[in-house]
Amino acid sequence: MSTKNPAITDDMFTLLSEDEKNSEFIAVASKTFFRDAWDRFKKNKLALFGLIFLTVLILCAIFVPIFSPYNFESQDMANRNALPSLQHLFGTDKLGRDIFVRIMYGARISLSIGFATAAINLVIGIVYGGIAGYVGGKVDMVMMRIIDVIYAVPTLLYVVLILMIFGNSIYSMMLAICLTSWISMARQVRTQVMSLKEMEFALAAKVIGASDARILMKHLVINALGPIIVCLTMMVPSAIFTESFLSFVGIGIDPTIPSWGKLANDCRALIFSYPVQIIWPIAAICLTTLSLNFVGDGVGEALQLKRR
Amino acid sequence: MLKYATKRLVIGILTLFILVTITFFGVHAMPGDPFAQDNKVLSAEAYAAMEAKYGLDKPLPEQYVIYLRNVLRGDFGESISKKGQQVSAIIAKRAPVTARVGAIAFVVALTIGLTFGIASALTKKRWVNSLITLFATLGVSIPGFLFAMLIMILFAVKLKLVGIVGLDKPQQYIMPVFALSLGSISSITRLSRSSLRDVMNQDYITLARSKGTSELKVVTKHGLKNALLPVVTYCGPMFAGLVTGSLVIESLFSIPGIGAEFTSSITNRDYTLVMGLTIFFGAIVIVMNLASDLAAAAIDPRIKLGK
Repeated sequence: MSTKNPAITDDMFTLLSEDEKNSEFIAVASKTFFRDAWDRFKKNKLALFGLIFLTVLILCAIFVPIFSPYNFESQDMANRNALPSLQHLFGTDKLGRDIFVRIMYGARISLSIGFATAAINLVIGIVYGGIAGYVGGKVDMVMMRIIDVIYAVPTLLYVVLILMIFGNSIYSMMLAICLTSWISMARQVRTQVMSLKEMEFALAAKVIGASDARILMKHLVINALGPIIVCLTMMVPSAIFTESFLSFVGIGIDPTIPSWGKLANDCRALIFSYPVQIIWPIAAICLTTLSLNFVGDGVGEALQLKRR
Repeated sequence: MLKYATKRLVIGILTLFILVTITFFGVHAMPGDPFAQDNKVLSAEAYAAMEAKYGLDKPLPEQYVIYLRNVLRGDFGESISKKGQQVSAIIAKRAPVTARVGAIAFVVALTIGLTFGIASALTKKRWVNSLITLFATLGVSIPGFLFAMLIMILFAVKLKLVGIVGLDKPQQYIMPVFALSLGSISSITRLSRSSLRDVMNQDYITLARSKGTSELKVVTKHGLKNALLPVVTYCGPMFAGLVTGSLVIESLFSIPGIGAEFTSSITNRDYTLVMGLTIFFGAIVIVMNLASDLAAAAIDPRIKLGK
């Protein structure tokens, strides 16, 4: 190559034609990360169905008991074991109580247990897993061994013990479920934090003097949000399942509360005479857990977790 | 291997010890009086005699040491609601029934789950794949006890094919076993499918094919051998699931096993029985977890190097 630049003259340049002018114009507005994820989520029919079902269920659980002429205990002795009708949407049970209203009360209980335990697990899991993953070394070793010990015993045994000690209220059920279920969240957060803390942005934050707590919460946990959300959506159905399972066996929460497991249990004696009644609690539990699983899968796909 | 096994064994024993401790103090912290049954009022002497009989008159730490020593000898004390019956005798009588149903469910879950998982991973037909995916999703979402009720209504009430209760005839095993293993079948299907798919994309599979190895040999010797590791690790948790499931399945189908006994002991507030069964269940799950982890480490040497 010659060291001298050739002289640049005007005739070396030509004007662009009209249609070439806009060739680099970006026609699509740039989307934020979550906007992009939402668009992908919407394409997943099952996940969308799950989301709609859950929204409707939550609204019904809030408003049906408020506006319904029946409450979960009121009896209509003239209409016992009635089939579904306009008066009683899902029919009535053996004491003439409206099943629709009872199912919606059950939804309040199941959903609040599911979401409350998920929220508690989120906090404990992030703090515990975050510290274990961020500090590492001996601290991590000890914290993980503690988890191993707790995890080795089936959840059910803890739940049974807690319910026997603290009585069978909804709150002891929440406490009991939380006792073991935060572990999967803590493990997830720990793995994420361990790999993220080696990234350049974590180093950069450290270089400009951010505190450890700030790096952990503002940089590492935020970047691990995808897997955390997926883990969270999977916790809700498992909590609902544990509660309904125990109430179904008759060792769950207070039997006067119409939780879904209790409602299914009530129908057990009636499967020969009135098998129709069992459909409602089964449908409620299955559709809710299915919807939550669909939403969880959908969120995972939308955030493209597998690609990483 | 020896170092890894020792480490796991120590953790296992520690867990068992903590379980016994929690159970002991948990049960003793419970409100209520184990002798206040049948609304009978006991005289002061009778009460003291009862307390002395069950060793409840001694201070709590001393009771704990005695209990620990007895548990080590396999003695869980005498049941409170069933007079004159040792907890260990009740376990010995009821456990074989549960073990039989559980073992069948274990084998069924592995066989069907692996068949579905492998078929779904290797098939080129889309409908086979979607059918298996649908089944696996439903299986994870429908709780086993509800599935049990559904098949009960279908096969016993509507079609009247089998009786609901008891385990006298071989066909009566079908419903409890399937209800018990449904969740595990789905999990194994998902697990083996995704891991076999990953493995089949590896370079050594391509190498094996290019050397002219038959497809059957590629799948069994190179593919499955590596893909089955997650399934082996899953056997521990699966066992815990089967134990948990036995609680409801046994009371639903009136199977006289240890799960049904556990449920009724809780309802009866039979403290010694609850304690004994909790420790027994916990111990089984801990041992099975240990076994599946050690098996996984024996198959794959990478595990014991630490993740």
